[in-house]
Amino acid sequence: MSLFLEALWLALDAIWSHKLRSLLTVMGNIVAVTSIIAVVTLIEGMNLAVGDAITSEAGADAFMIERVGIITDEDEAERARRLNPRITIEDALAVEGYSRDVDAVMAKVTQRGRVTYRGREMERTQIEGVSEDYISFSNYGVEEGRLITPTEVRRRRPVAVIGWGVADRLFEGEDPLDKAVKVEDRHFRVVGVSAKKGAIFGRSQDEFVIVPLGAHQRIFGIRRSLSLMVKPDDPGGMLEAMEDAVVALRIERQLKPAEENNFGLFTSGTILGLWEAATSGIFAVLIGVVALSLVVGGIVIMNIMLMLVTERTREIGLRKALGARRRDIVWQILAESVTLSTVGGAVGIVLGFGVALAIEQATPVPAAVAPWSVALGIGMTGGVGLVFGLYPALRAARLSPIEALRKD
Amino acid sequence: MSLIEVEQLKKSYEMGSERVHALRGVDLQVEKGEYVAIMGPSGSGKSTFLNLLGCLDTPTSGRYVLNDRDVSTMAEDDLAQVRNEEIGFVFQTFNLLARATALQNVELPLVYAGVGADERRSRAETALEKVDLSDRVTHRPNELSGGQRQRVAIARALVNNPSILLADEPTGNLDSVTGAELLGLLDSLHEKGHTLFVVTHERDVAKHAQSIVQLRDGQIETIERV
Ligand SMILES: Nc1ncnc2c1ncn2[C@@H]1O[C@H](COP(=O)(O)OP(=O)(O)OP(=O)(O)O)[C@@H](O)[C@H]1O
Ligand SMILES: [Mg+2]
Repeated sequence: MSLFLEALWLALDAIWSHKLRSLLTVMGNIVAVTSIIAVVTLIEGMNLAVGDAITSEAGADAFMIERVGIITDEDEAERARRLNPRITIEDALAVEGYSRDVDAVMAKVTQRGRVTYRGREMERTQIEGVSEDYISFSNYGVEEGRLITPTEVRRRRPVAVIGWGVADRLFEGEDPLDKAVKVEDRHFRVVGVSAKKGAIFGRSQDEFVIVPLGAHQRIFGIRRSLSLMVKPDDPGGMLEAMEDAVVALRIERQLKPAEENNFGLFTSGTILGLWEAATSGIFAVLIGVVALSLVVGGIVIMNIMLMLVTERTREIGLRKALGARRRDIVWQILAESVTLSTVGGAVGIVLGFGVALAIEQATPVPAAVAPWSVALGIGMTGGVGLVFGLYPALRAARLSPIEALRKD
Repeated sequence: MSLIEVEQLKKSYEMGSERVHALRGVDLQVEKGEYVAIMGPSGSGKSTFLNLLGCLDTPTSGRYVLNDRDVSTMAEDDLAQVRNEEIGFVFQTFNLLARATALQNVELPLVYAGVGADERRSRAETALEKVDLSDRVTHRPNELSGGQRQRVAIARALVNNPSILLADEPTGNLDSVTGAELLGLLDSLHEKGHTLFVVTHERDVAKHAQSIVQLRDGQIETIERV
């Protein structure tokens, strides 16, 4: 232990007294770890953002039924878009009525439209119509005022909950509650304002208007397909509830056993899975870059360590004369190469976070620290120091004390 | 049994196609507490012999028993342990670690002996006290005079209580006054019971010893009692 600490101390001292040489030596490590940390930090950031976006859309404890599900095959997706019938309120009733495991089914439809208030106007704002069960889903809430009541939904009342961004831009500080906004050409009374959600990938999540489904259909018509959100009684029963929903829809749509489902079913996990598949491609490229710079870095470290061993031949001879065994010398050289290499990794970690932060500042891409990437950076560079330090260390240990001492 | 028993010790070096015979069969017995000087012309094998005695090198043939242990056939790491426990070296060029303080230099053999930090420190301090350098503990070699450096080297050689102390021309790099001081220090170590070997060119240095071994062409010419 004290030997190890001594070696560590010696290593740090040597690195410090040759700052420039050390820096150049560990350039490969710095590049490798900087790219790992930067990429992982940004992907982690995007993971969180995407995760948020998806759960705020689908809800973590609910699943979605849509006209076209998540289909990665382009031809199949095209066929589904052509052949699948619209999702209707009858479908919602069928799912709700069939399964005992279902707590709530809501139908919704969204459409971009114009919202105006006293001459101020927002184009292409998301207008969402919701059915009365929407109240059971956690993604709806208000900060001021109240939610639209189920009764108001049933009676297709012209009331609306607006997003924080709509309140901000149309009312400019004025209290929006009980004011009348115009959605396309119809008036709605504002009953609530949602809390600020912020932006994901630079896109505001606060520019929306929620209205009763029936009122939505009065503006935009009834020909648009609905999306259904289904919440099981308990989150553990998600799979059973999904199976029930499939059966319910197949019965209601009178599908024959040989016919495929003509609707799509997915959870937030399905979408997350797709995203993860996409990011794993980025990781594959990253691994290539990192492996290459680590090997190059390792070879440079090995060279420098060989040079150092030659430089210190006399010292190594002296240590052996004083009783250092071969393994003591091996540990000393390894401690030095591992320390050197790991210091490179540490610099890379700092630089990597710097790069990620700079990108976060300059672009809408978010960043979040993944602790494992720090461990990975340190572990990998430590490993490189170990592997590439081994040959110089063994060479040093093989020096005969007398030859080493003789050398000037 | 004597402390050191050497029988027909030979050492030769392969130089391309030639063989250089540095030692051609040396017999010697030395008792504990003796003070031996080794003299001889340049190239006669003095350093070679001393290095074999110090287990820094292994003989081509012959036997060397140190403290009842045959060290002539030992493996490298066992020799390292013998060097650590039984032998203290003092080199002509001091061989101190430039980056380390006097104290750290003296601690080094104890590091390899696996002695804990606190004990190491106190033992190194005691050793530096013995060579009269208590006030130079934190100095680095380049902040010390030649004589002080050699005394640090002696403290380092003594710190692990070795059976024998080996010095290859210890006064070679010192002026006559500091050289004389160093010889006085070696005398006092001898009086305290240490076993000493000193290689030297100078008769005046050799006269401090109890016996003078004269080497010529890799063999003992005479052993002279002082
Ligand atoms: N590593 C070696 N390889 C080849 N020959 C060597 C080696 N070491 C010593 N010798 C030869 O062995 C002989 C004895 O050398 P050694 O160093 O023991 O002499 P020495 O008595 O100490 O001389 P000096 O008084 O000059 O120090 C010399 O001829 C020398 O050239
Ligand atoms: Mg010599």
